Amino acid sequence: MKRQDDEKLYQDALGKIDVLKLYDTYYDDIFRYVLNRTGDVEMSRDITADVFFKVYRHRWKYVFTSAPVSAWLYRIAGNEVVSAHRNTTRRPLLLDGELQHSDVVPVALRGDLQEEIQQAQEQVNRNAAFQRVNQQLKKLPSKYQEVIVLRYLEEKSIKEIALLLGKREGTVKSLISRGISQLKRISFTEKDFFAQNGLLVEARTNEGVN
Amino acid sequence: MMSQHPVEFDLKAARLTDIRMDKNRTSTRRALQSATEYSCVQAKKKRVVRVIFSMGVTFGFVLGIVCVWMLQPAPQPTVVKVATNLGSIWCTYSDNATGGSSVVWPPESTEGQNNFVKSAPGYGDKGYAVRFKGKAGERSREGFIGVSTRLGPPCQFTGCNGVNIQKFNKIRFKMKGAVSSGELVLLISNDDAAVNSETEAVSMLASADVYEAQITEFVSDEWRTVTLDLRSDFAFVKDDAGGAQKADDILADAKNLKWHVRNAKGADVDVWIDELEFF
Repeated sequence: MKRQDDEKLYQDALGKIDVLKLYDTYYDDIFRYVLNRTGDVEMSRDITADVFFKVYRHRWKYVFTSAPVSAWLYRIAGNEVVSAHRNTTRRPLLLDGELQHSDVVPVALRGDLQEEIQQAQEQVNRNAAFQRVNQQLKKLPSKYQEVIVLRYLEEKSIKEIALLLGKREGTVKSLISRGISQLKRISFTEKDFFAQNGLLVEARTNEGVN
Repeated sequence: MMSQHPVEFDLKAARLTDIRMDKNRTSTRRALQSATEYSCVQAKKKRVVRVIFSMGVTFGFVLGIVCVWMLQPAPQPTVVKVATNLGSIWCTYSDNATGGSSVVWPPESTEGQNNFVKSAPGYGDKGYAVRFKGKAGERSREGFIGVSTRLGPPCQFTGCNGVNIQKFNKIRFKMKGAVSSGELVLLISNDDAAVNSETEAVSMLASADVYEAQITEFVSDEWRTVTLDLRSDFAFVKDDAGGAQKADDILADAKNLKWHVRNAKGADVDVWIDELEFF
């Protein structure tokens, strides 16, 4: 783990999950993970908010174990991504529903938030390598998507992935291996398709790494 | 050296490392914080409501128990007819035995013999009744006559046991007759006789408790039902020697019932008693 995942850091006075501490620590990680899975900035923002909202709603049920707290977050996030893919229409933000009963005043105008989302989405769209990978990943089963994203896009070690997903390291290695194989097969098929249609796919080799 | 597959190349190049969402991050955090605080307020409200509700439930439960207890029908009293279930010997007595001039019928027992006779007809012109009649002595203002029955089983002169009539609330009997003067009282006593081992003289125990009810007003020519509460209609006659002064003490060991005419100087007495029962 890049940061200390000491469970005591995330407990409140009652020994339960301190949602705000978790949020401050893991928001960026979860958001990036979801974005890597979906490629959609706005959806990623909503799903990330939903993850922490669910943590907040179910914080009384969480039992601290030897697994890191972040594993719980990644698991919720993974489920939310799958759920979002199943639903063609984007779901409303659950947190907004909760806030109907409160008098919270957003710190930034919605226009500012949308502008930030648009800028981030443009940034994502400019990364052609990401776009290709994202399209190919979506053709894989979810179990391969999550290990490949964590391994290659999140740069986590096999051990970390095993902890986060609650799987054995051998299983993770196997999943990554099979996932990459499938990804290569999809890529090869696409390459043939592009070649048959006279498109230069080699251009990708000239794209810089961000 | 193996060349890198384009997919692996893409995976490395696809890393999104510089996407910043600071405004959205802060906005969502504020929302989450607000929801948390709102939840705390709601939780406090819920706690207060829960406490009030549990107090209400407890109060309702207690009230329910009290209501059920209060609305329970009173247990039907057991009626015990003295003539068939209690008592042994009926006998009359008077101050004649202590030097008075009173006369009573049926005759008093002088040597332990049973002189009592039943009288007919009883209440409703059926069967028999207890009747005692006589004339109180002229010599003493405190002249008395009466009739007594033991509540316990037949026994020897001393050491007779009483009976526990605590479970009963009332005594009821039919009565008719006439008492020209003085007063008629019903006595419940736990008196007993004691025998002096040297002289073999018989005397009443000094500590006997006498618990009495005034019934003069119920005496009439026609049969009347007399009902007396064993606890509220009776009172203790002050006993200088002390003794039990609680109703339940004497009811726990009641030995005698006496229809006692007293303060009846020269009074003519004729009293009938029937259908005596405790309930």
